[in-house]
Amino acid sequence: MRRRAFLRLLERPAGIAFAALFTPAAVITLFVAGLRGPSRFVEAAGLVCFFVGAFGGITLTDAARCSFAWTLPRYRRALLVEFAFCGAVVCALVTLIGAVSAAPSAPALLAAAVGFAAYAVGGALFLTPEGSLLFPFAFIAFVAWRLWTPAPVISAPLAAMPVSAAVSALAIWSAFSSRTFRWSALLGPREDGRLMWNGWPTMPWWPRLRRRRAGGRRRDAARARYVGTSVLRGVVSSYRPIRANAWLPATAGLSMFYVAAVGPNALGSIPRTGFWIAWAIFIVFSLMSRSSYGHHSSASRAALPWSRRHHLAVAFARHLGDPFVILLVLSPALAAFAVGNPQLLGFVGRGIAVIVVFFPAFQWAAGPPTGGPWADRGVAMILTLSVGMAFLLALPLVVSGLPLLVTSGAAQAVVLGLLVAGSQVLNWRRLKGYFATRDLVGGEP
Amino acid sequence: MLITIDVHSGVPAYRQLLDQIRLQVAAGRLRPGDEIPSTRALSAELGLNPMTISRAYALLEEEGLLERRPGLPLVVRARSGATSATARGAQFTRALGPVASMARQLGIGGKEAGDALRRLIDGNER
Amino acid sequence: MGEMIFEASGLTKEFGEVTALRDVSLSLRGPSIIGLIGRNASGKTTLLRHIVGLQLPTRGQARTLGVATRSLQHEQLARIGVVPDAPTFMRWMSVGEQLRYLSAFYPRWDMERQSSLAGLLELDLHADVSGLSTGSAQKLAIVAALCPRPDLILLDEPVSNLDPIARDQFLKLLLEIVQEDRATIVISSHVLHDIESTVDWIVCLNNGTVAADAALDDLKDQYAEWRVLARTRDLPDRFADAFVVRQTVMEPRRARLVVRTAGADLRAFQAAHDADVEAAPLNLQGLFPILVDNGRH
Repeated sequence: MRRRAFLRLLERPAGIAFAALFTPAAVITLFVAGLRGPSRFVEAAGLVCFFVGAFGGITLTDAARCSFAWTLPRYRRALLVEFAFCGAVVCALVTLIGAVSAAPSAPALLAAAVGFAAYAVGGALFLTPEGSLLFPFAFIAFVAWRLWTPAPVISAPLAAMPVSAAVSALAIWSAFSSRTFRWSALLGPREDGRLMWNGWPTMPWWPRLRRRRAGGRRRDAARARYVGTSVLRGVVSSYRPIRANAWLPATAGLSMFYVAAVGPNALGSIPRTGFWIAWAIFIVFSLMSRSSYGHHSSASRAALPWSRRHHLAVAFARHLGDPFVILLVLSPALAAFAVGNPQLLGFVGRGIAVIVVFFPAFQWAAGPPTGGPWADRGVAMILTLSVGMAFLLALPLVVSGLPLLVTSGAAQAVVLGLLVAGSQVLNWRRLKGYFATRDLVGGEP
Repeated sequence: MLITIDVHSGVPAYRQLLDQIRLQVAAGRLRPGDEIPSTRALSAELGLNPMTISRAYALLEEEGLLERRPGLPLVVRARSGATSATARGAQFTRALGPVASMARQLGIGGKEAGDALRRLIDGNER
Repeated sequence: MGEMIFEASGLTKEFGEVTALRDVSLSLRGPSIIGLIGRNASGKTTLLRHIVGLQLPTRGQARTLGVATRSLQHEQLARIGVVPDAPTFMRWMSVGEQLRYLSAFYPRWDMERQSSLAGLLELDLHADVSGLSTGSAQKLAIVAALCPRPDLILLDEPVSNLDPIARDQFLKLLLEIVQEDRATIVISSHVLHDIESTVDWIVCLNNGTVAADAALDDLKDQYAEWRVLARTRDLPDRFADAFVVRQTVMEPRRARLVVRTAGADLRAFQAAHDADVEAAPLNLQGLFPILVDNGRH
C-alpha cells in the first residue's frame, strides 16, 4: 500500500484553503521582488518558503499531537521524507519564478538554499518545544537582524550556502527528533482544530506557571462572585484569568522591541531604521492583540452569576479597552520612537489605527465571546485565514496608500477615526445579537 | 459438559474448574473416553481467561484424570473403581466442610447432623 | 513461560518533585492478559507510557520486546497496539479514512478484522472523527490497536467509557485475540469487577511502587477472609498472629480477619481463641485494599 504520511495531511480543507489563498500572493510577491533585483528576490524567496514551511509545521504538529503518532511505526521517517520532498518542490518552484521574472541574474542556487533553510525553520518553529516558545520572537528577531544587516545574503553567497545547509539540517533534525515527537504526544492535541498556534505554556518544564494559572482562575471566579457585578469589576475579573501565556509572548515581543527600537535610535546612523522599527511596532501590537484573545475560559465565566446584558457589556468593554491597554504598555517605546523619528509619526499612527480597526475581527476569529473554541471548525478556519489575510493586505495598503488619497493629516485622522468607530459599532451589533440568542456555555451548538 | 464459574466468588477460577470436572467424573456424568471442550471453546463459552483454563487442564492431566493425545481433544481417562470411589468420598467430604462449621456454631451434634443428612438424602424432608 | 514482553529493573520516574514510579522491577511474560490495577495516580499510565518509550526512566532500565525502550525501532512498534486513556485522532478525517491512513504503516494490518471489529463494536466507518463521542473514539482506538495483529496490546482504561454491552463484547474479544494471535495484553483499569474474568495476571501499583505481581488465582489462594465468632470469652483487641493481615474486631465476640493462607492454621486458631471460624475466599475487589496496603509497608 502506498504510504502518504504528510501529503495526505495537506489534503485537509485548511491545506487547500491555504494553498488557494497563499499561492497567488506568493507568486506576485516573488515576481515583483524578482523585478526589483536579486537581493530582494532571495529575501522574498526566504519569506515565502518560511510561510509554507510554517504551514507545514502546523500540519505536522496536528499529526504529532495525535495519540497514535508516537507508536506508529516508521511514522517520523515518513513525515520527514515527505516534508523534505515538499520543501524541495516549493524551492524549485520559487527558483523557477525567479528565472521567469526579469531578474537579470537571479541567483537560483542561493535562493533555493535560503528558501529551503527558511522552510525547514518554519516547520521546526511550530513542531519543536523550543520553536513554539521562540515563535513570537522569530519575527522580531528577523526584523532586528534585517535592521543591522541591510542586504547580507547576496553579498556573501559563499558563506550563505553552507550556513543555509547547516540551518536546514539543524531545523529538520530537531523537528523530527524522537524528543520532539515524545513531547508532542504527551502534550495532546491542540486546543481546537483552528490554524492557530498555542500550547507552549503547557510544556513540561513550565509547571510553575501552569499551576499559578490554574489557581488564579479559580480564585478570580470566586472573587468576582462576591465583589458585586459592576461592569468595571467584570472587565477586571475577565482580564485576570487571561493566562500568563497571553502576556508572555507580548512581554517578550515588547522587550525585543525595546532592544530593536531604542538601540538603533540611540545610534541613529543605520539606514531605514525608523521604517523597520515602525513595522516592528505593528508586529508587536498585533501579536499582543492576538494573544490577548488567545483562549479565555468559558467555565470561569459561566460560573459567574451574570445576566446576558452584563455579559454583553463586559465583552464589549473588553474589546474597547484592550487596544488602549496595549497602547499604554507600549507608550514609552512609542514615545522614544517618536522623538527619534518625528517624520514617521503618521506612518506609525496609521498602522496602529488599522490594528485597532481589526481588533474585533481578531477577537471573533479567536472564538465565540462566551469563551472556548468555535464548535464549527470550518467557520473558525475560514475566519482565521481570511481575517489574517485581510489584515496583512490592509496594513500596507492603509499605511502607504492612504496618504496618496488623503493628503492632509487631519483628514486622515478623521477617516481612520470613522473606520475605528465603524468597526466598533459593527462589533457591538454582532455582540448584542450573539448574547441575545446563543448559549452562554461552551461555544456554538 | 456443563460448567458454571462464578469469577467474583473469590474461589480461584481454576479451582472451580478443577472441582466441577472432578465432581462430574466422580459422579459418572463424564465417562472415560469422553471428550473435554477445548480451551478455546470453553473460554468463549464462559468468558474466562484461556490461561486459567489450560492451567486447570494441566493440573487434571497431572492428577491422571484427563489424557492429552497429540492433535486430538483431551479425554477423560479410565480409572480403577477404587480410585474413583476414593475421589468421590474426598469430594463429598470437602463439600461438607461448611456444613460441619455451621453445625458446630448451632451446637448440633454428630448424631443429629447425621440424621438430618440421612433424611435429606432419602428425600423424606423437603 | 513464553517471551519476555517487558522488563524493568529499578525503574524510577520523577517529574520535578513528584515521583511517579519508584524503583519498579517487573518482568512481564506472554501470552497472558495482565491486569494493571491501582488507585488513582498510582503510576499506571506512566508505566504504560514507559513500555512504548513515550516516557523515559529517570533512573533504571526498561526493555520492551527485548529492546531498550529508549531505542525502540519500527520492528518493535509494529508489534505493539496501544489504546490510550484519551485517544485523539485527525479530526478532519472520517473513521474509515483514519483507519486507512494508519493501516499503511503496519505490515500485518488485518482488513477482515477491521470490518468485523467495526461491526461488533458498532463503529460507523463513515462518521466524522470530530463528531465521535468519548466512547466511540475509544472504540476507534481499539480497532486501530487490534487490526495490526500486535503481539503486545496496551489498554489504558479501555472499559471506562464503554457501555455495559460494548464492554462485555470487548472483553470477550480480548479473550479471542489472545488465543488467535498468542498476544499479551496489558489492561489498566479500576473497574475490577469487569476485568476479573479476563485477566490471569495482576500487577498492582501503589504510589509508584509495585504492590503485587502475581497470577490472579495465586493471589486468591494466598489470602482468605475469616469470620470469627467467639464461643465463651471475648476476643482480644488485636490478634497477634503473624498471618493476620488485616483485622476488624466488630464486637467483643465477633471479628473479621484477612489472613495469609500460608502458615494460617485454622484449627489451632479456633482452639487458641475458643472460637468458630468460617473461612471465605476473597475476590479481586476484596483483595485490592490488601494489595494496596502491602505496597505501603
